[in-house]
Amino acid sequence: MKITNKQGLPAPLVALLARDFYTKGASQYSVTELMSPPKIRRMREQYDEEMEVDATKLIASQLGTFMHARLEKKSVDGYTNEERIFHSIDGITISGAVDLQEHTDNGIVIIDYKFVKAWSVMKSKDDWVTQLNIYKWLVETVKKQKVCGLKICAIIKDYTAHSTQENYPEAEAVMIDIPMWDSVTTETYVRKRLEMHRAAKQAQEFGEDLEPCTDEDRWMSETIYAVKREGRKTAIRVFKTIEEANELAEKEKGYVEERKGEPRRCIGDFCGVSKWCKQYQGELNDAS
Amino acid sequence: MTPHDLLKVNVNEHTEKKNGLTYLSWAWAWAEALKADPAATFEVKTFAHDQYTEMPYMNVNGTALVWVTVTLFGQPRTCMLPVMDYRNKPIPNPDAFAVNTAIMRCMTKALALHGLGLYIYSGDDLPEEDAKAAPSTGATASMGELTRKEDGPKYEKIIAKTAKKTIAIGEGWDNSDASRKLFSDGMIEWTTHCTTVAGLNSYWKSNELQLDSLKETHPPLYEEVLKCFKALKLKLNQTEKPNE
Repeated sequence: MKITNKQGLPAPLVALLARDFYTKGASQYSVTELMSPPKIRRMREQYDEEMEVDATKLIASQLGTFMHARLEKKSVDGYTNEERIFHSIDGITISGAVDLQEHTDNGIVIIDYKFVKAWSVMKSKDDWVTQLNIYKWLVETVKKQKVCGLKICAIIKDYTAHSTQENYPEAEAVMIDIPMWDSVTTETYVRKRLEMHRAAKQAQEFGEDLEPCTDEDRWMSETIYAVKREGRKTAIRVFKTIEEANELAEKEKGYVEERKGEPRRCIGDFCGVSKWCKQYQGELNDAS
Repeated sequence: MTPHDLLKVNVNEHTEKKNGLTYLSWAWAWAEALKADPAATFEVKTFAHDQYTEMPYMNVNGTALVWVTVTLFGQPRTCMLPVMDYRNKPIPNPDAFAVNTAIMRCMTKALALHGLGLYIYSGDDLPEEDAKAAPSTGATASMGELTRKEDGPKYEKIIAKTAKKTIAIGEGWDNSDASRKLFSDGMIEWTTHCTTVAGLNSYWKSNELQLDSLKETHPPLYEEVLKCFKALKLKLNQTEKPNE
């Protein structure tokens, strides 16, 4: 991947940002890779040499990495810092780096640090639930130790004490309890994802089309229906269903405007490969 | 019938020779065991995998060792066997098919501990009694059984074909290059077993790690294997979806 410096940042800063701190050891799939869409992983590998990212785009993620690196070195009794756990499934090695394990009388509490914006804490946390439950499964399977709790330690980068938004975090850092899955549920999930990745890898080798990304993979926003009235710029109200919107539009003698959901990951090129993606480029061509 | 009688059973008609080894059909061997002792049993030892599951093999530095106990005439005898590939090399992280094959081979080997077909393990061509009456024609090592009897002739043909091939070793190649060549040849030859796209995909995936390694170290060999698989997949796709 090429790192550009469009803002003319000082070379030492660019060099620091460009450093790849991440390691997945000898594993073939890290937990986060396993959770990521197979198509994106394959395409990122295919276009690695052509992909470009500006140094400024690395700041947010690298700040988190730096904090992780510092925390890793802070040793406190009763806790195990940053441990990478390896496990083999059908000959394929997967691994997960557990940020922190708190040893209690009832078992291990797994804690994962997240350096995030406030909205991340307010929205659905499905990915966090999956990630931590895979760590739980790794600890129980490989270390043969009971896990009695899963927690996210969310450090809010853009916290403001004056926000009145619903579910806004109470402080700059909050602890979030994550529900636990049983090991069968987790292993089933892991095996399914592994199979998807292996199938994608094989398809790519064979020169076949990759399975398209799902709406979830693409961070597809919901389609909403805005009730509007002639002469008024803003919508009177927006609804998730057309029925509700139609009902209000009739009362207000207005009309309904459909605002289609958008693949935010593709539009923002958060995958890094949208310009080579037939699925997304095809949609753009269809729309134009 | 007694254990001593089992030593005298001539198993030659139920063996096949492959890759220089003599294989005894597990199904036939087990039938003989039941004839000798209708109460015969065999047990596969399992080993804790995690707190919830057990596996039918022991993990030995990433390879697997299966353990089978055969009880005949009330006497249990235990045998162990590594899970091996067609070259009789231990397979790292074997799949279910390979484990199953090893278990049945191990069961056959455990039957030999009771006397059945023991002579082929000791390198003899004939059992005790017959050997006295006929001159030996040479020693043969032995391994076990055929998991799928119908695969026998095909397997034999493939092994013979592979063995006959002169390995084209390039300049600067060493033994590992030769083994890579043998692996890629074996991959290609074994595609004749794949009669469905799912089977072909599964075969590819079962060897994913070795293929990855081959791609990295010997790209031309990898391309050769890939080309063969792609062509066969295209053909199988056409057979499976004739109306599309």
